[in-house]
Amino acid sequence: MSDDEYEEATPEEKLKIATHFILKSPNGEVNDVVSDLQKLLSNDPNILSKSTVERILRKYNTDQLFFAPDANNDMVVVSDIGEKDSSTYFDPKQNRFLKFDHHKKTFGAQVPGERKVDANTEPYRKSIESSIDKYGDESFTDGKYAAATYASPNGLITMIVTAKNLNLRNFWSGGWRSVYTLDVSKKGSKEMKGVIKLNVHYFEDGNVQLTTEFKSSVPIKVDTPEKTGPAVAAAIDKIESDFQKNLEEFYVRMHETTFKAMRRFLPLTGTKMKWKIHGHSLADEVSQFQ
Amino acid sequence: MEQQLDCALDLMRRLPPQQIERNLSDLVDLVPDLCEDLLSSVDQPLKIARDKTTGKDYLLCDYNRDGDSYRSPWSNTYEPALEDGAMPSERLRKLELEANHAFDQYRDMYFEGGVSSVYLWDLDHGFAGVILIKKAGDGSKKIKGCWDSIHVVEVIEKTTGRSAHYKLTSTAMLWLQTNKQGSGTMNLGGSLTRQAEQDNTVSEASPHIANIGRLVEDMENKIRNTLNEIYFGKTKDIVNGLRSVQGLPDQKQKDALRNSIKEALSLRQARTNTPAAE
Repeated sequence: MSDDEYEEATPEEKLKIATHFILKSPNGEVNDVVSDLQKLLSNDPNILSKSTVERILRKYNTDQLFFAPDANNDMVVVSDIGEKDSSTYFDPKQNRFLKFDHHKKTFGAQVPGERKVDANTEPYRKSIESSIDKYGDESFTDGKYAAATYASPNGLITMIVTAKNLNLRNFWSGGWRSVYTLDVSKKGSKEMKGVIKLNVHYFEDGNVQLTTEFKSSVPIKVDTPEKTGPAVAAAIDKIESDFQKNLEEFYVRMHETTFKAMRRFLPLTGTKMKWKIHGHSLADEVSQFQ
Repeated sequence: MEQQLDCALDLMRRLPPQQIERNLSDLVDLVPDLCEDLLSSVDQPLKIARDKTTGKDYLLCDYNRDGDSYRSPWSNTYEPALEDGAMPSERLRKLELEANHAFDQYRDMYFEGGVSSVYLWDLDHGFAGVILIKKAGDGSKKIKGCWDSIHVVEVIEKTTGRSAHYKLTSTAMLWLQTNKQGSGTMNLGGSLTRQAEQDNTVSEASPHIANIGRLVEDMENKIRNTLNEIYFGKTKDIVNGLRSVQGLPDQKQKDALRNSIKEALSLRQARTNTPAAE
């Protein structure tokens, strides 16, 4: 592109790009991405002002289902559904609101107030919560995951399981997010809908990423709260175990078929190429194997 | 400016490689001054074009681009036509033709398909070149795959003319994708970059192309092993570090163990250089 034709992007367009980049940050790397962008936009510092970054990070942290320890080292989740305002999040486990700093990514003081619980829904929420906690402890690594179960007044339960595995010094990171919803307002068979998202990043002298998205929908028998909680956790366990098994199969099949067919380990001759560049000798050498 | 380029390159190694082209053009919009630097330092998936004169396919990259035109290594002409497009010297063009034929054979032996192109350009004390290979999978078994190799080599000829210093920077990109019921979308892709340097004698028996060829061949074999370990070992380990398969019932545990033993074995076989392993 020649300079005279080039039309400089407007500040609005630049903000849109920067926002997109920040929201695409791999687990544990969003601060690096923000800092790179601020240096790149240093001539125009208004584009990524402190308050703008704050606003984008809020979206990033809630999208990513970020979690952090409270003062007692209990993990609390940052999510859209638990958001009271841009810096206050609901912790359904202890029915309390906590301050959250989107930049430092830490929880602060408790804020007065609690959510009104629906007497019909709350027993379901509690039973599901404790069953998922049990499942989480068995399947996810302690300190690297968090679960939260929210209830809305119309009887819809939202379950979140989120996990992170970070080792940025060794150039890798990974994150798991799953969200399920189930209507418990009436007894009977209901569809539990869910989505699992994975992102893995490896970036030592390169940039390799695994991204997956898997949507599920399974029937759940909504019975008494005592029976429904374990049924939900068992269903989630099955969905996630099957998903992981399928992922394992994807790896094996990709390796066995696609990867090996892409480029051979050695030529069919079993030896490396003989690089003789004398007229047609090379072509002759190759043709004898064909 | 240099710091800005570092930041831009740091961003490129963090943002999803699957959207490398969009990320790059967005970055150029963000910092137009970095345009030329970014286009020459960020490798992108290669595009294929057909040479109208010879009917042969060739690959497009920043090194055979002049303005909006690309030079074909087969007919040595630009498309769209360009009156005064950059050309290698006569001596280098001869070498370029030989290199294209040699790497065409190399591609056929290792990739059994795909497209390759070699472009050379003159330097003050030697020359430089890029060896490109692209192969797309056949899309069978519902897995889509693609491989791009980009080897940039700089050759500094010693004044005696009997030896030369070779500096190689190689990037391999591997893209794997599947979308099916039961497992949803799975996308594993990106690139690895490695460098190597070597002094070699230059003679009738060991001409530049043979020296470069062996260097590229060894490097690509090494990168293939590293891709194997990172794609099929490391990324999977990270997932299994998130959610363990340990809590699962016995049978599943046994399956997982069997798979990981199988994988460890095939990795070991791959490392011991036996072609029978594949």
